[in-house]
Amino acid sequence: MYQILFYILAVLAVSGAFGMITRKNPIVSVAFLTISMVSIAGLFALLSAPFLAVLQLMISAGAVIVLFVFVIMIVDYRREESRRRVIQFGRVLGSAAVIYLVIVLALSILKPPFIAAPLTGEAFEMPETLGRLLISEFMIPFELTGVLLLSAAVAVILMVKRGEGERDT
Amino acid sequence: MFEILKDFDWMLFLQYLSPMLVLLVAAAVLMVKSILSSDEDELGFEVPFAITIAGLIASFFAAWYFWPKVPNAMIATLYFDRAVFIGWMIVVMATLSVVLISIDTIRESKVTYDGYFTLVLMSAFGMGIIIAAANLITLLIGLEIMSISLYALVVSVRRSDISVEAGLKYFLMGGFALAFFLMGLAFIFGSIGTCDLSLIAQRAPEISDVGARAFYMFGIAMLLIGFGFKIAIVPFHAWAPDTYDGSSTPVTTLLITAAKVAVMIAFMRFALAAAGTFDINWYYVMWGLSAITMLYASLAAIRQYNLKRMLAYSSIVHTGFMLLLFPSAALDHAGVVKAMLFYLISYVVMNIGAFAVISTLVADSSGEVEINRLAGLAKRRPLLAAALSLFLLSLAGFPPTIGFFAKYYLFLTAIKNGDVALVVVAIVASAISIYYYLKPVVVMYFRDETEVGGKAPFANSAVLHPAVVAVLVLSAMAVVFFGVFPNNLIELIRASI
Repeated sequence: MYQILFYILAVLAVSGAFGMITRKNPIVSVAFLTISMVSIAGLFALLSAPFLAVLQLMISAGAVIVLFVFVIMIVDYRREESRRRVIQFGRVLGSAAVIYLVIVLALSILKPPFIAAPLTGEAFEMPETLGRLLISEFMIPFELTGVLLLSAAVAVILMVKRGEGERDT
Repeated sequence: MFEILKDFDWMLFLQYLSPMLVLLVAAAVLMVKSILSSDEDELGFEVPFAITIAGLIASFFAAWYFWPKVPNAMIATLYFDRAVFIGWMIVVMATLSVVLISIDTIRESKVTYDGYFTLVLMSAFGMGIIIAAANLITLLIGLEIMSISLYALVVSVRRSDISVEAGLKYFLMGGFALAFFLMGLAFIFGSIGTCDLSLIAQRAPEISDVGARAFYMFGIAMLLIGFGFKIAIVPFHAWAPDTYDGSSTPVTTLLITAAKVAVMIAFMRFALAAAGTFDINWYYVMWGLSAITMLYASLAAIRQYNLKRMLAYSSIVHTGFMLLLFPSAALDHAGVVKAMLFYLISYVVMNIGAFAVISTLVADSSGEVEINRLAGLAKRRPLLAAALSLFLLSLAGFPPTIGFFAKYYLFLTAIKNGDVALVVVAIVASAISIYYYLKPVVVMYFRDETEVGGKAPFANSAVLHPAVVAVLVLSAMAVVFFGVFPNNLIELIRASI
């Protein structure tokens, strides 16, 4: 049962990713990306990491996809103009990604053993453990993310205000 | 696992963090002020300027006050030792200078003073977190606080559409850096089970398992690439000249001085932790990166006809010089920190001065800062020309300036650690650098205005703002004073380790 589910989800994840980069219509691409993200969430669940699976669903398959759709709807995407530069850029980036993937896969096949992280145990994947870590050991970074969000908000306001000024003149 | 909260002294922690928190408070005051004020109020610079300056000065003196008292300890993923506070003082002084030279630029741009100063303070706060970070996760979040503010500053304080391109490049490359950084962090956590720098230093030499060792090395390499993007080491530098040239001068100054100092100090901490014991792979990688950064950027700087672009490449060359220390960093931790802090101080002082001059030159003529258009500046504005020459000579490392001693201690430390060949490369790069640093000086003093080539020469009518004059005088004094009496500064740094 585990094996069957794993192969179904793995095939779905890879074919979703493949569909995403081969479609020309960005909305269809996003739909394929969603399939890929959801199947990866399923893989996490199979690996008995339910919390990670839920996070994957909520953030990657939920919030990020919605943002993608928003951007595609708002930005007038003219394919013909940007195609050449995008493709050139994509080639460079793609080959870099392939090299990276080969290295990672080679490493994990040839020298598989990870040292077990010190937190592994029954409670590791429970939201409670993560919550406790966030308010104890990683309290300061956690609080700092608040500052990070604030500075992002201020940055957006500064950029939008500039746009208004330009329209007036 | 969770005992950290039990004996955790919040008041002490907040005290030591107060130099950085002051800036956050000042930023919050600015935000409230911007909500309360009407549209006309937003045009005046006095109030936001005063709040920003007050915050920065309070922060500086708080750091000065706590500097002798710090416990040399790690509290809740932040280091509090003297090196942190001296790094923080460098960053605050650089930010203060940027604020002082930006008044005219902001008036001409469409940005409000409130928003601009808020973001400058926010990015400075991020730099403080970067300097103090004892955990890679904290470091990552500090980097993002700084970078997000800087992206917006590059794009919105615009010279022209070039600024948008500069901002986009900076943003994309920052995104790449972040991705590499996160990947490296995951690999390191996976192989040794911690992101804490001091624990990494402890556990790294003890990894016996071959597989874990491979993953650890891979993680270190990824982090190195992430840092490489952020501080513009040569294979990852492509964004730097365009971004430095395309942003308006005060923002360039912030990027080239304060931001670089903060990330460089974090890189030093990371390097001392990751290469805590001598490692031959690390040695070769850092050796190669340092040599190629110095040589490539020197050769590229020769070809520049734009002063700002030339200084951008020169800043990459200086990064290469600083990397000299890292191949054998494990042999002499204290020496590395000492030479590095001294070099960073001199680097900041010289660059602030040079960019303060440029900011007055550009104020009366938009567009590129072509070196040809400096012709005859010595006749028209003798003091300005003399100041720019002084800073350029110091950047080149001529003797009676701070730049000479900084370079001297850097090379000395590297030679003590046995990297003679690399120092020879650095001396070659220095020799090349004399050519491109002296080119503007020659143009200013020995060429007539008529040879500009159709375009108006610079700074016929530029009126120096008193704040800019203050920055120029202070940095010129620092360059000369610490060039003649470097011992004062060295004693201060020696007491900081």
